[in-house]
Amino acid sequence: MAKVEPNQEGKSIVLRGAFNPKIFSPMWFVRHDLLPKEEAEAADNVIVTADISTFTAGWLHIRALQPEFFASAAESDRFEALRDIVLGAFQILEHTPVTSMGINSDLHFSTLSKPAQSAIIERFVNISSWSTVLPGEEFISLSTRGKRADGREGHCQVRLEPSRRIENGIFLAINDHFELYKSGDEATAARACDVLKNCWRDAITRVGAIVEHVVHT
Amino acid sequence: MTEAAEKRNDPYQVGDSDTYRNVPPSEPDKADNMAADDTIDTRPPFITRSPSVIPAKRLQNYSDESATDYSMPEEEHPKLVIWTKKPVFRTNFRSLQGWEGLVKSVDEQRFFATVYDLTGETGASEAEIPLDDVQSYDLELVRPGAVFYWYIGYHEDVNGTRRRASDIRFRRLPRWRARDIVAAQDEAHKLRALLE
Repeated sequence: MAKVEPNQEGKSIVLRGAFNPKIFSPMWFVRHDLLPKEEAEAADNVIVTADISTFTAGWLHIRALQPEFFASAAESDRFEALRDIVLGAFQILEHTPVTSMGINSDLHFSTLSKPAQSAIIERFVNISSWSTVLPGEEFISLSTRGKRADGREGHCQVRLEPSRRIENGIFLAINDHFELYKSGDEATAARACDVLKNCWRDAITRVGAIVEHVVHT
Repeated sequence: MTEAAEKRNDPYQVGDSDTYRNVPPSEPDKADNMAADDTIDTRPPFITRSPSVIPAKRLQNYSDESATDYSMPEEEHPKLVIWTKKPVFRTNFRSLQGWEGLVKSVDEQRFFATVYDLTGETGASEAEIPLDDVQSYDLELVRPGAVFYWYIGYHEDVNGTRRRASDIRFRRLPRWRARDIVAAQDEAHKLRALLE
């Protein structure tokens, strides 16, 4: 099978903890030299309230709720910048309680044909075995989860679905999850920053290995 | 299924501790493999400059409009998704190669840098890059010691037309605080002591 490159790719970083959404306005990122003023001023769909803040500044989408902070980029030449903006924000807000973090990758692959799509899905699950009990069944989604191999708390979860964006395509969602809280311990953003500094490159490499395993083998 | 999700009998198996959320699509009209809870409850007032509101149903994980595993009818639990009305700056950049660079020196028209392949497959290289290739808002960041990311790839527009492109973006991190400098000096002293 010819090597298939992702047709569309996005990354997101999700922190779970206790946040003050009102902080995360586009201009806050400018004031702390994390975002160019020009990009912040062009931000669209800006919402800044005590309960939720969200904006889209070109390549960057930010959404903050009280229990969750979410940042994403849908362009592969902005993934490092995405890491930097989250790292920068939580180096400033280092005492924010953060209990867990996910480095997530979404990849859509164009397989060009239905048989090629089915072959990839069949490697995950034997679809045909369902035809006797579910006539006309259609594969929707399958997830699998493994332990972390780096000694940190957490897991890595992979979800495979037919792509809803590309005909006969494949969608992979990869959640590299880090548990940052242990009972009786203090979980702060400083730990999330440590993970972003030291585990980012491994997370990127892991995505490549998973893609290789699912799509190319 | 996480324990929290089991307790709520969450049909989407998205527990409170999960840290997976989809990257929002840049084209909202396309059905997408979105996480089921990637919708926002609306509790007005929202402060928004240019909201475009589309039904949450259009973005849920299953594009089948007749899907019956949606948690609650929209009439009972109205949901809105606030989405980008305008297209993003650049439609779809697909990088072919990326480097992380360190600026060594700058003159009036260009800067010199050491660049490292982001895949780690090749070693360091020296590069001479025209300042014209740097975004105007990044020019003030171009100085010795600055870190930047350099990608070569192509843009693909909505019609599928591709054109080659080079993109440079300088790293932005918070200003160093006095205690950060002290901590870095301490670390340097420790390293030096180990070497001596």
